[in-house]
Amino acid sequence: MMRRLSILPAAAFSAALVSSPAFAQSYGLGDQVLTVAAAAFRDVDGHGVIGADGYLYKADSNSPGRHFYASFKLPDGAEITQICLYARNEEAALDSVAAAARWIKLAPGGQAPGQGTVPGSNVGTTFNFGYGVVCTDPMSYVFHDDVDVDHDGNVEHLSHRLDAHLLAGPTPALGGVRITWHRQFSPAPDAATFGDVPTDHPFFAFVEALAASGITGGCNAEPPQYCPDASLTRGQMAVFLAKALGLHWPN
Amino acid sequence: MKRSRSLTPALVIAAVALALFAGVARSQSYGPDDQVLTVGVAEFQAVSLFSHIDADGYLYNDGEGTDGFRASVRLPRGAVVERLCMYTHTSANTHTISARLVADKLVLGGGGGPAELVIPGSAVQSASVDGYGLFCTDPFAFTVPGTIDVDGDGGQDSVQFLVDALLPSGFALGAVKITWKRQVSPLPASSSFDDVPLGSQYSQFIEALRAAGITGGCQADPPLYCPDRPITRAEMAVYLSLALGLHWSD
Repeated sequence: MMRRLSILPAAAFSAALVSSPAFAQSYGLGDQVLTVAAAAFRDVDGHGVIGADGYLYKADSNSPGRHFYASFKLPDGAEITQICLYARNEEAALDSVAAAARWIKLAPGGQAPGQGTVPGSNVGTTFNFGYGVVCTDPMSYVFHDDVDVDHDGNVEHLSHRLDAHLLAGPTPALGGVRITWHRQFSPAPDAATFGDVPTDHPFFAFVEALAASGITGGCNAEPPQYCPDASLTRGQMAVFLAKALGLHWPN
Repeated sequence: MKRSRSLTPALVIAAVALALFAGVARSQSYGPDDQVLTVGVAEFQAVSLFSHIDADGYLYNDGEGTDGFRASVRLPRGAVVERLCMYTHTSANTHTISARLVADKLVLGGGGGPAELVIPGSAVQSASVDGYGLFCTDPFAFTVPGTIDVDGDGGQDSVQFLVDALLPSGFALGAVKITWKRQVSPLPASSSFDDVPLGSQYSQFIEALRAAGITGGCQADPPLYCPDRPITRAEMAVYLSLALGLHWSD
């Protein structure tokens, strides 16, 4: 790691230190974890330092409180079910750490920006005298880049971030935030794409999800058909998988 | 590397250090259709330290001149980047915000210095408007390579990809959005299976599966894939488990 240079105060290095956020890369519909490490948080209104324990501290321990932000992204349609905060909280009456997920409304022009807290995502330290973890109650927030998040009838363009707040006290510290989430396949549309997979077909939602992703165009263009009961050749299987995953580019 | 101020060695080192360790956002949807990678402003590291994220969630340059901000981005090998858009807050004067996708050479030692390459077509510039706005490049096509000759010396360089943004004093950036999509890899030079000649209907897809280690065919010697044989449910399970790395329990 680079040593401190006179031209740059320490904050530049605390922001740059150590790891980037780790993104869970598993598949299927089971629970996954997105860990946003302390070092991924950006100083907002003051300096932070990463301690020898890997936790993020206020550089000025006497300051009343400092904010840190970290952008995050999940797959479209992912459902966040819980957020946990790893923190250090030494002095019962003084220290406190809080975190929440926020959506930021990006303004394409002619609109005002805005932001809001992801419902149920507020979490703060309730323990004292040491290191610990505290989690939200089970929650539900479906992640989208573009969605009517505030239910005003317009689709908003969003970015998402975690806000962490190290409150008053000498030793509050942030270890990281873990977001528990899982993939979802898209809800079934109102109308069927293929004549032979009507809306009451047992595999309707799955076939529509493949069609909407551009992975299949069916077995016949006009009239549009999918041939759900035809057997699949090994060659056709190769098309499904290669298209779905963008296989395979050498490194 | 183009900067509005003179390029001191310290700034170059700082920029490289910041770029190496900045956060990474990654879109995780599948299929060949368009995808969006939103690079939020909390991922941007300031080359100058005079900046803040305001109550509107945008990143403001509080310095006196135009300063640079950068964020690491990671895209799958073979992805086609098609468009770069940025959300901005500007004033109606002659200054503008610009952003672009940059390939930044990782210096391995043993010759050659740092270098950067602006991806052609990826540069976007704001207009002179007062307030919030969205600006996009024209459509372009850049296939993410494994290596690229950044400095034109004929050698292939390992790179990291960055979004560079230049913010005039008092201007703000809301986010940069990169539109991209997956592609199936092009055909290799020679066929892997005797019953799947290059250029046959499924050859591109079968070769991609073989290169990814998902299939070894239906017979080893001579190598065959049996493209027209129906797949069994058991084979389907093998394909999906291997392709997705399914499934590790907690």
